[in-house]
Amino acid sequence: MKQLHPRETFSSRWALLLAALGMAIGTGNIWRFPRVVAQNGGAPFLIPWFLFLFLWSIPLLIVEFGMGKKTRMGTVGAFGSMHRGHTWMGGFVGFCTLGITFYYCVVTGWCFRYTFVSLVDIVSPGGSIPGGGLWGAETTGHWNAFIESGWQPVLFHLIGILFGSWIIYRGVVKGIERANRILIPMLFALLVIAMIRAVTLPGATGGLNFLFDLEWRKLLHYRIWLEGLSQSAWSTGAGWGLILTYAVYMKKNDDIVANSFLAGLGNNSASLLAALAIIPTVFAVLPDGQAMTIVTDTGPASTGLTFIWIPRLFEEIAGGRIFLFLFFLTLSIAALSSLISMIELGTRITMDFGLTRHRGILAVGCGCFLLGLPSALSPAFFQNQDWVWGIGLLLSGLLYAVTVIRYGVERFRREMIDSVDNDIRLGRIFNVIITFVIPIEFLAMIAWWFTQAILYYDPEFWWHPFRAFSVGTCLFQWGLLIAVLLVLNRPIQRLLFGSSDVNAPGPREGDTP
Amino acid sequence: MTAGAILMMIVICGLVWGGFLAFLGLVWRFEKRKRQIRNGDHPS
Repeated sequence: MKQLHPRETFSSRWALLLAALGMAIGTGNIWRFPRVVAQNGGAPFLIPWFLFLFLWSIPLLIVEFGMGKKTRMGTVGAFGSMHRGHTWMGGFVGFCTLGITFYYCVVTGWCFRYTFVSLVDIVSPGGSIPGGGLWGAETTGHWNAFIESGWQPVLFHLIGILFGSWIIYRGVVKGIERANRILIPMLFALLVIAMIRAVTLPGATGGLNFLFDLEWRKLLHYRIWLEGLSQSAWSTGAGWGLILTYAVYMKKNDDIVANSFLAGLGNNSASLLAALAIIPTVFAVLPDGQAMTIVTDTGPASTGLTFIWIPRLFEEIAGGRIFLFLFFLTLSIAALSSLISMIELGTRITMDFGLTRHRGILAVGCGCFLLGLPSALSPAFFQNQDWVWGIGLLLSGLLYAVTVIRYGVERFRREMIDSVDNDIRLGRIFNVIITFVIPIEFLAMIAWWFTQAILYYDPEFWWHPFRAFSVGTCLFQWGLLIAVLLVLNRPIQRLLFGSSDVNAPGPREGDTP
Repeated sequence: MTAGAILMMIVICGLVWGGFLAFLGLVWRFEKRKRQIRNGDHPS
């Protein structure tokens, strides 16, 4: 197995944990979670959302930590190390996350741009802001002018990539570790400030009642459970290959189980803080009926609440301009901390193929810029990619379970998790979750989202491969990727592992790759 | 706020934030014990 360059490690367990939290907490926690909670009736949604943290997200985080720590390779090499025939699965997981990275750079650019504009608005109130005012009734026009300008989303997309790549360029300790040491405590502090401000607003209790008043009957509706499972799957970053990538840089005696629980619970803590910062604000500023409409407004590319309604709402509260800047700063930090883990995933894969870190970053950075351009310029393309690779992540989660089942779940647990260095030992429940629960959850989620597409999103052309939200576009793009990866499976194995062990099943018991 | 909402808020926030803080404390203890073992001043 190739190991051309000396590998860095995180300087401490706390550094690894901060990086894991930075990976897990992204824009989805701040702009998707409050909307999905509201759309699904508040408190009843929170129960399945919390439950599935232990039935999907944390078990997959444990698998990722275990594979990364044992194999010391990115997604392609890690899957290939587990079983040579599964190398293509690592390629799918890696490309699926990179497919998200291409448009996530664009989202990061939007966050940077709104942070910049809201800062300009504090420094020079009423001054000229490109694209019209950020406040009041002009927010929709401001957003449309920004997106339709073309050059602005591209410029901020480039700034996002350059910033993220620069952090990765500096390496694991000086780049990823230092950035997360600053970003994550700052992110939590800002979320706590925003929450305190929101819940102390006059009229905020309406929002708190909405968020926590439990109607037990709603728990009988299957939609609540499927939405809770989907949110848990997307939000924690489990099955994306990002924790696997960070686990490559773990110390040999670092724990896996407690780290996975901390990453999962930390992610859910940040989501709950964001919901408590946003929903009470909406209910404090607007009458209940209007608040409900706004808080559930998806808007273009799911940006309705964040970029259109939040500026309108903050205008109504004392110190709103400062809080608006802090809100977008929080969003930018969340976006950046996740983006750097995505760029590192791509860079790690290129390093496994023999490139230096610096050349790998150059390749990944240029690729992200070029392949993100269509999403920066076309909201329809952005939405298509969000749909295809977002659903693809569910398949990625299943591929982890399939690979561990093929390797032997009991053997995986004994060799890679319950080693002497682990602080907490996993029971046999882990075997049951990986073998049965995750495949069943995958089938339920994929059936649910495809049924949504067939019945509601695009009932007439659900089969069409070139529609934004069709089942056909998912199957076409996944199928194309899988076909290419299957054709390249052997050449990739040769590049990664040499020609001698192409047919090998993976490491034997006790092997240290 | 209604009594039900207050109860639910305590339960959900307690489980999520309490769980997170409990694991933080646990990891801090594990690390402290490992440090003591490394330095040779732990009974085990």
